[in-house]
Amino acid sequence: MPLVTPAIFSRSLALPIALAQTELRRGKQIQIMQFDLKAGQLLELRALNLHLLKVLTPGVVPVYVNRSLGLASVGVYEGTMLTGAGALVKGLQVGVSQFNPWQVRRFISPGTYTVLVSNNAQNIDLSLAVTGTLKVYTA
Amino acid sequence: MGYLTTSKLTNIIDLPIQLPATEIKMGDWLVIGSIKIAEPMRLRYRFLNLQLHTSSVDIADISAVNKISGNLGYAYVALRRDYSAGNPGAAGGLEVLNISEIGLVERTNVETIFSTPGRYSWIIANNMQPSADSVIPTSTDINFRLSVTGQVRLELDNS
Repeated sequence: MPLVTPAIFSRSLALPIALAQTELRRGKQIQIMQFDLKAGQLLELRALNLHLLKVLTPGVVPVYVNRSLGLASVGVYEGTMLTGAGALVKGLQVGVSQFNPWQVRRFISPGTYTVLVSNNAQNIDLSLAVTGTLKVYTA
Repeated sequence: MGYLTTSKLTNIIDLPIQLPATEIKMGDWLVIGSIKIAEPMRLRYRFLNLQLHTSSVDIADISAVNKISGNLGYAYVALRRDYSAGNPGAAGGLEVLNISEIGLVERTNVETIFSTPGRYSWIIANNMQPSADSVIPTSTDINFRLSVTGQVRLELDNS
C-alpha cells in the first residue's frame, strides 16, 4: 500500500455538501452543489447524510412522485438530464438516512456532477438538512 | 507514530458544519448538519467558528432575563446525539459554543473524539425571549443574523 506523500495529499480536496435545515416544498428540488470533473480527475463519494427533520403537513397521506425515491432523496447526478442518480440516499420517514460509506462510489467520466435534494411527495412539505462530502483527486 | 497510507487517506472524510449568514428569530433554532456513525467509525471534532453579525436590538440592552437558558449565551451552537426535536439547549448536550456579543467566537477545546454510534447534529439557536424585566419591550423581537463555519473529521475505521 503506497504511502501518502505531500504531493499526493495536496491533490486530495474535500468539497462540502452542506444544506442547513431548510423547508422544501412538495415536488421541489434544491441544488446544493455542483462540480465540473475534468479528464484525469476522480470524484469519490463516501459520506452523505439526509436528515429528514419534520413533516410540515402532518396527517396527510403522501402521494409520491416516484415511490422508489422515498419521501425525500439526495443524489449525485451526472450531466444536465437528471434522470438517474449515480448515488442516492432516500428518506422514507423522519430521521437520518446515510450513504453506505464502505460502498464507495467513484466517478471518473468528465462532466458536470450535481448534488440535488428533492421532495418526492406531491402533497407534503418537509424540513430537512443534508451533510456530506465529495472528495476530488486532481491529476 | 505510523505513516499515512493511501488506503487510510480514503477512509478519512472531512465533513462541513456550515451555515451562511442567516437570520434566526427570537427563540428559534436550526439544524446545521447531521452525521450518522456506526461501529467502527468515529468523529474527530476540533474546529468551529460562530459569528454574530447583527442584532435587531442594541445588544447592550439585552440582559440575562432575556435568556431562555440562563447558562448559555445569547446564541449558541449545540452538538447533540440522537437529536430529533425540542430545545437544543436542554440538558444532555455533548458540547456547546456560546456567543453574547457582535463578533466571532471559536471553539477552543481540545479535539474531542466521538465513537458512540448514533446521529450527531449541530444545532444553532437564538436563546432570546421577551421579558417584562428587560429594558427591551416585550413587543420587540430580538433576532440575530448568525453564521457558522466548521468541520468535523469522520474516520471510517479506528486503525
